[in-house]
Amino acid sequence: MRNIDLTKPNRQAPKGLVLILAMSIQKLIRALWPMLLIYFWKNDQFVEYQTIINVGIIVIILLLSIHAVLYYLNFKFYVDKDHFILRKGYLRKQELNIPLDRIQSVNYKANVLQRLLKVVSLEIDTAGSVKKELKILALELDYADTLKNALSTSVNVKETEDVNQDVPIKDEQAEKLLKIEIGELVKIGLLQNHLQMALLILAFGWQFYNELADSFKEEISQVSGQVNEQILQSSLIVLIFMGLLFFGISILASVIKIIVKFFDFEFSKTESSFQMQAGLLNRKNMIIPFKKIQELSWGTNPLKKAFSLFSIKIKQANSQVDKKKSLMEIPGCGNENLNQLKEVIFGEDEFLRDRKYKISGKFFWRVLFIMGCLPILISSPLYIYDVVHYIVPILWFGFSTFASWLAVKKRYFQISENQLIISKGMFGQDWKQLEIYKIQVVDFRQSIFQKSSGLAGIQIYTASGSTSIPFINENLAKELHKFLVYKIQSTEKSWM
Amino acid sequence: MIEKLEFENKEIDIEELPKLEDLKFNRVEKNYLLVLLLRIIIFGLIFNGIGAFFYFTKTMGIPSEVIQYILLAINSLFALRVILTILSFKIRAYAIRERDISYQRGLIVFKQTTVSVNRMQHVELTQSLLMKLFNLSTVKIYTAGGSQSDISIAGINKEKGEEIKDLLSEKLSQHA
Repeated sequence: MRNIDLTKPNRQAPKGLVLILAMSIQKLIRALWPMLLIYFWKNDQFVEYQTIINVGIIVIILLLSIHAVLYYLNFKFYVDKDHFILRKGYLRKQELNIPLDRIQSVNYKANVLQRLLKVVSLEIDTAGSVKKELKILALELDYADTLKNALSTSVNVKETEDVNQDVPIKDEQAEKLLKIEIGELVKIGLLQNHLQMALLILAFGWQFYNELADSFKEEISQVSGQVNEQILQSSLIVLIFMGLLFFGISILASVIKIIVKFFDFEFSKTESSFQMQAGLLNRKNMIIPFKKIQELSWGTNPLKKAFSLFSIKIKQANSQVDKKKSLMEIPGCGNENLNQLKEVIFGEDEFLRDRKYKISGKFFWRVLFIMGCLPILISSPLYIYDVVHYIVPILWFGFSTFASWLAVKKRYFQISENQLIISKGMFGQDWKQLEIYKIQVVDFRQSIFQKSSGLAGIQIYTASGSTSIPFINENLAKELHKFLVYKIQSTEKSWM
Repeated sequence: MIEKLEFENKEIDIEELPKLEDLKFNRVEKNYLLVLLLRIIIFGLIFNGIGAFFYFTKTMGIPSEVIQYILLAINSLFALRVILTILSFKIRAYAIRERDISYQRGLIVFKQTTVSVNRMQHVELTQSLLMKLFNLSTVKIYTAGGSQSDISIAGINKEKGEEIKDLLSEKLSQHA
């Protein structure tokens, strides 16, 4: 622990200079990478301009260094009258002012460079739709600890001294709930939704191809000519092999993604919060106090179901900008761990005796229309001239009919005295559980189509997102609306 | 599909809770319909103006028939919008109770949103240029549920809007 005087403006660690410079160079490279690629690829064409380019690079680095120094000097933070104040910017000065009691959580992270420099970046999350970037790039670890405590202490003034104590990365009092070894991670990676990953790779590959296509027109037309010929000459077996190869790459990518994100995953609980740390390149350390949890969601897919594995998300109040940052994820765990979590968050299971309210089968038509009919209608000009292509929409229609049927089957809700569970899914299934008093706003909604068949829906908004219960009986929806509003109003408990 | 209509619930008798559908809803000012229609007409004029510009100057060489068809499509959309605005106007209404405010709107999709006072973050009164002409205002209520759940009740008389805003702000500070 270090003593810091937060009443006076503080600067980040001087090592931050290096980081600011590195970040701006990284940003520049990210913006210019297609150009750089062309430069290195077709080096010979730029020989005459070599001096200009060299001078340009030096000037750019010089400007970036000046920017780094100015940015560093003008970046200050302090606490004044229960407000955390962060000033930054030299051309456009910015002052961010956050009441301490609005601070949701304080997290720190370290990327490779930050770990080399032995500093961490500190991020402060707030609730509400405030689009403010509260991030301090470089702080010495002990400094960050002190600051984090200073900020979270004032957040939890009402709580006991427990919170005041040091909450470092390794807490002695923390009870370890779950640790995922590398072998288990590989298994979880293999059980991911590979279709999603395949689509991601396709989309990324397509974008990559487009960005390069313009600069390498000739090369591409040559190569693609050859490729076309080869594809035409090659047999079905080769095509199948290529498909399998692509699928293999997708699976590999899923596994790598899981390992990079969740390497050496550790999940533990203290008196008042959950703690998690994980990551191979970026080690992420995160704390969520119990009372800031808005919702617990858990899900499974057909692959995971076979091994009775669930992926879990613990959601806390978030600012709309960083939905992902405020999320605590467990990539895979068994039923036992899930029940343990539920007990910590919600106490005793209130749903043992409560029945499941299914939704109306009419929901089938809405899903079928949005998922099946709309894409087919929109893409109709593509296959209208070519009879062979009819097979695609027909297959898609069959597929979405099945999926819509599953969507009706898996959607239900359960309600107890204080809690709500909502289930939805198609091939997989996702559940959400939340305390009713954490709900912010309730919507009753009814389309003219629903009105004639006496159906309606309920939409629920919490500080961590929204959920809907569509296509239930109109009277049930009205009762539910009324009950939820009553529950929100009759509670003395604060939602965070 | 629904096995049982009534809502299973212990301890509290749901029948005794104040019914939301029995609430006395206040319609927004009739003048606001004029504001809404004016807005659509202004947009309509802008689109038709752009169309006329291309039609007469032949800039970009778009065939005049194509422009006619596009304008026909756009204008029928505008006409539809006008009809829907008029039909759905009588649905726009709000109700204030001691502990919450409800707002309903929408013809094709009817929505009734209820925000409790103990979940409001802050309340705001705004006025657009067109609304100023008719002395109208919008009461905006923000919650931590995100921008989708924030309600803005447009078309309230300026003085009444101030009143509502003050009333809610006062209730809000009692809760804080």
